[in-house]
Amino acid sequence: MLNWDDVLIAAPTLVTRESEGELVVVLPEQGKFVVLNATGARVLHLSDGTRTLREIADTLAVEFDADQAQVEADVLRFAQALVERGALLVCK
Amino acid sequence: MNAANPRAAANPRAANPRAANPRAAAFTLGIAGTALHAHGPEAWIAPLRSAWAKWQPDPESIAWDVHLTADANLPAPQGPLFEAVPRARGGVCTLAAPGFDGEVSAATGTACLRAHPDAEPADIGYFLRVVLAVQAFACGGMLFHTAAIVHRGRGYALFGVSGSGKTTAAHFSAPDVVLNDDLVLLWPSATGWQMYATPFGKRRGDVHVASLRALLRLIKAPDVALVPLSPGRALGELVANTPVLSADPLWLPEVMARWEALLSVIPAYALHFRRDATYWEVIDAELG
Repeated sequence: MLNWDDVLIAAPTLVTRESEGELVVVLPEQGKFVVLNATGARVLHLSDGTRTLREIADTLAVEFDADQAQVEADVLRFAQALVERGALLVCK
Repeated sequence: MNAANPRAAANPRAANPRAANPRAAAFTLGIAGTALHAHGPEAWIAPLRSAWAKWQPDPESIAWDVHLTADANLPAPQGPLFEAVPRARGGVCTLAAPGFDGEVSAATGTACLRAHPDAEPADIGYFLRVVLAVQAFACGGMLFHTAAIVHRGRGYALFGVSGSGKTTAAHFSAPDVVLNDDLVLLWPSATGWQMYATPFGKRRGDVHVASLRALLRLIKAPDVALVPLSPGRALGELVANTPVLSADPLWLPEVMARWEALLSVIPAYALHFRRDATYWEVIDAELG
């Protein structure tokens, strides 16, 4: 389970492509893919190994001018899903 | 095998890959603009040459050489090569398992497989399938996991993950032609995209090519429906059903670009279907 101080980074072999508002993320080693909406795509882009999950949520709350609690719930859900699929890695 | 080659019948050891110097043979597999010129021990080549005799290359196709070598120093195979997973990195695809050591290079247009003499022609056929995936891509086409059905003269690609119902859908589409129930070669043409039959799966009828009308992602459901796939979803699904190539981060961007080009002219839907032929009524109403 993720916590707010976790720092995430995209898996090095990820291949992405934007397609009409969706971000297609392919994990070549697993032969799997994920399709992300704008929020999910932003979580992935901000997961560059320098930001904590809380910092990512704070950034998105400002960028989307959205309710902080709702953004935190969305970020946690997206990040958890991407970690489970191997698209995001937790930095040690 | 012996019937196809009387010399082999007279001297079976000469054609056996276990022999010190097994007799060499060659044949060429041709589909659309691809051609694979395979040469190696006759015991491996002859059955494939006979079974795939209908797949002759276009005279203008540039053939890739496929070198097949029997190597008794390799360990004995522990299972069919089909169970091995192709690994692709940097434009080179490798296929390795006990008794097998294969490599395909897109840069040089060559492929080599060393295999233990106990390897079966089916193993060699699987290696050729991997080589075809790489060559087709290098030549502008793509190998695609799909059940390809010709309905009212138009080609429909019914695809999905293993167990999604490709074989079932092909069965319930009788008497329509099935180019192949598992793997076809997509090839661009002046009028769109063509689906070419391959020898890698079950077929019905003697048609070898059809114009692609629509891509249909199979979903088992109680009620039949045709629902447009979002562009991102369609792209992800199609990439996931592109054998060999989707495993290489180097190839993937171009694979995705090619699918996007195809999706700009060919519609993609989710086909909710059940175990009967009623889905064709829905397809005809929407796309016919």
